[in-house]
Amino acid sequence: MYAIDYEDCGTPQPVNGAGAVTVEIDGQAVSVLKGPPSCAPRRSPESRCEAVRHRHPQSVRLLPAVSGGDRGRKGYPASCTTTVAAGMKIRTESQKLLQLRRGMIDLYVSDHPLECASCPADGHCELQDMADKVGITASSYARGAMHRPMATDESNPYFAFDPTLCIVCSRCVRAATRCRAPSRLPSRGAASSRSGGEPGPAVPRIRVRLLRRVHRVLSHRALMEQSIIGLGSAERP
Amino acid sequence: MEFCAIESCGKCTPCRIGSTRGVEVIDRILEGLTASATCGCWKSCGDHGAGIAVRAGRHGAVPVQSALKHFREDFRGR
Repeated sequence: MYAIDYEDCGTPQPVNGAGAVTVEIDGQAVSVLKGPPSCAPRRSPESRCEAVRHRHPQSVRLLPAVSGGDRGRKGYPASCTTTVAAGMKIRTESQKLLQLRRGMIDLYVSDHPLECASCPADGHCELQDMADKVGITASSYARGAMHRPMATDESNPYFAFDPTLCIVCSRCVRAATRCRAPSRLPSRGAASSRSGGEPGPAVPRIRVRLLRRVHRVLSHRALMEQSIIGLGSAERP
Repeated sequence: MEFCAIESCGKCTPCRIGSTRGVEVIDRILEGLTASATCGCWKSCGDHGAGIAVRAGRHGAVPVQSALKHFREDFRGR
């Protein structure tokens, strides 16, 4: 779940970018630093195109189109693996993209319990928002194998991690990597796998701080504050 | 497809979930259930290969898509 006041600005631009290039996003020229994935400039504050205000859960996965441009690329390469280059023309909305996004969300929800009404993240879930946007209410696939049918990890006094709700968006891993503490994530073995197995006295505090930071960028309910679960909703009545 | 599902590193969603769903769709085709709907489902599933970063996931669906395209009549009646 993302925080109520959280505004997703996408992948941050690199600090040591290799010079500015101009790309065209939905017909508008935007100047960005060379190097970041093409999903980054869509949300840069200076860009005024409609796509900037367009939320994407899993910005790395939802296939904003990158087509045409000097590089002559065809098709719909994923924005997470395609870096911006001078003259690139990026389209973020089209009929074909809507179709691809629908299919992608269809796959996501086929591996995710659709119990939004009873979920504390109801109304603050990017997956839910995007499913509504593309018109997906149920998966068209027959219910099949699900990933990690494991019990909720409630070992942390402040947060609960439910692996069945995780859609592997990797945002928590990336956020923790930026904090240089991926091993402290509940999904990555936690502190017990570190040397000695017994966390020192400072670890819980660091862990909670880290988890709060990670928690802000998550798009859904997999990692959630236990207090919110106890309240039943992200907003007090 | 089972090979693709096993080989998937799990980083790209179309490959991670799509390969698993692909196996299930093919199983249903082989069982003779809902051929046309299932084939449509498969086409949709295979289309996502465009967004996959690695070749294993991107091309995993191609053989089945080719079979559906060129030998469509073989799937009728199932």
